[in-house]
Amino acid sequence: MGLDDNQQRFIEKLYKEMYYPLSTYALNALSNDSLAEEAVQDTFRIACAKVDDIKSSENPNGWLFNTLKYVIKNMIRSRARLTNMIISSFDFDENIDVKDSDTSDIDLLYSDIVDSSEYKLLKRIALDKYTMLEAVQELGISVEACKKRVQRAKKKLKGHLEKNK
Amino acid sequence: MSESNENNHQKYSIYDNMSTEVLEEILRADSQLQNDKDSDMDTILYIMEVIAKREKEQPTGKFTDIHTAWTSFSENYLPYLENDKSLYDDEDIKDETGIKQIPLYNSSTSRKSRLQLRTACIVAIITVMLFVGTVTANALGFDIWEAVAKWTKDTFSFSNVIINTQSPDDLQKTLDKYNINTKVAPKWLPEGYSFKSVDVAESPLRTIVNSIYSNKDDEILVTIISLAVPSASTYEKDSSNVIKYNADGIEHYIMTNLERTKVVWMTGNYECSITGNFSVEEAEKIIDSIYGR
Repeated sequence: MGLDDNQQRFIEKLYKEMYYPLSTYALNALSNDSLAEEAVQDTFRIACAKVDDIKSSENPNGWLFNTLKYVIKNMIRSRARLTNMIISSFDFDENIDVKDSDTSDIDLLYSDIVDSSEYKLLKRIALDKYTMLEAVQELGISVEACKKRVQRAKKKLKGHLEKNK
Repeated sequence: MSESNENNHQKYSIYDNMSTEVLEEILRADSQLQNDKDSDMDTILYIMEVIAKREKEQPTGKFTDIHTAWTSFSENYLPYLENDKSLYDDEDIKDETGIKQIPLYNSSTSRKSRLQLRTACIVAIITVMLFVGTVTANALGFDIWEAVAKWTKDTFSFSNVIINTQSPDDLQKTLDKYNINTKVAPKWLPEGYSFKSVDVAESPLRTIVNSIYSNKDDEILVTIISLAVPSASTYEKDSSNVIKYNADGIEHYIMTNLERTKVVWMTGNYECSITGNFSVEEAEKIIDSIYGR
């Protein structure tokens, strides 16, 4: 369900008013301009999804600010967790001599754990610090599909890491 | 200007006169507060607007311009409206960080919040003074030394202390001072390197100890990060292999990046790295020296 014209105008006005202030906060919290921009975009996406809530709020700017803070917290924790999982996956099999392995070998090794392209996607986000949008542009899929793909791959990798502890 | 706006303007005018660097430090300090209730939202929003206004007047190029950003938002994010959770919302950590219940605006600002923010302001000023050295306390309207005395009594800590001496034992002494008792400091480095400096940066989430050793042409950087909450950094590497080296039961990873060698390892809540222009064999010798081998 999309926004009606009235809601669209409300969001666009708010966006123009709050894009720079929110970006300033996000950039200082995340120290990465691409991630900061994505945090702000995600904040406005949530605002659109909950447009009735923000419209009825006595302080829409405060509502956006609180939402941005939660988005940033989620982003930091989620990315840290993913990085830990990827690093753990390097140590997953004691029989692998990492000294003699290159990245493509590790991808092949994990092809039975997660689909190879999914594992590469996780590495893009964790190690190359890609935003979802950057991953989306590389893969030619939608933001929604990318989020689902990341969640699915994480779940699989997590399951395998736990099973083989 | 309405009376309410005028009161607000007077209340917050102190921030109009602060440098952007100080204001940004306040935002950074606020973003690191463990408890969102400790944040003074009205003040932070005001500070954000001050910086944004300056950005509009004199763009720094740090942000995507608003028209491009709006186009990207409309094309990439707006179609994904069915889900009201963050893109990074992990279902399995929903209880810790979930955005399921987004708190609505609460207009009351507690005294504690204002105190926390004042602390953050003081810390921001100290940080900028230490690193930039061009901001004077008087210009900002603060008695900085009185503020320091008060600041040390507060629970919130975010400080930068720079120690510069020439004793070769200073990294270990600094680690001792911060109760870092785990073996993390190298006792051997390639010939010609001697201790240059050590500095410590503290935030609520981590304490970072950086020590530099130098020879005539180059430097070796030893970094020890004590984490309050376990997390992991990402290290950049080039296409060459990662070498695993076990010492004292701990895996150390040796990698190269931009013709420099980096050793990284985790031990307990400490994340450590040594970076410099040395060979893999020398890296292994440096690692051994940490454990007295």
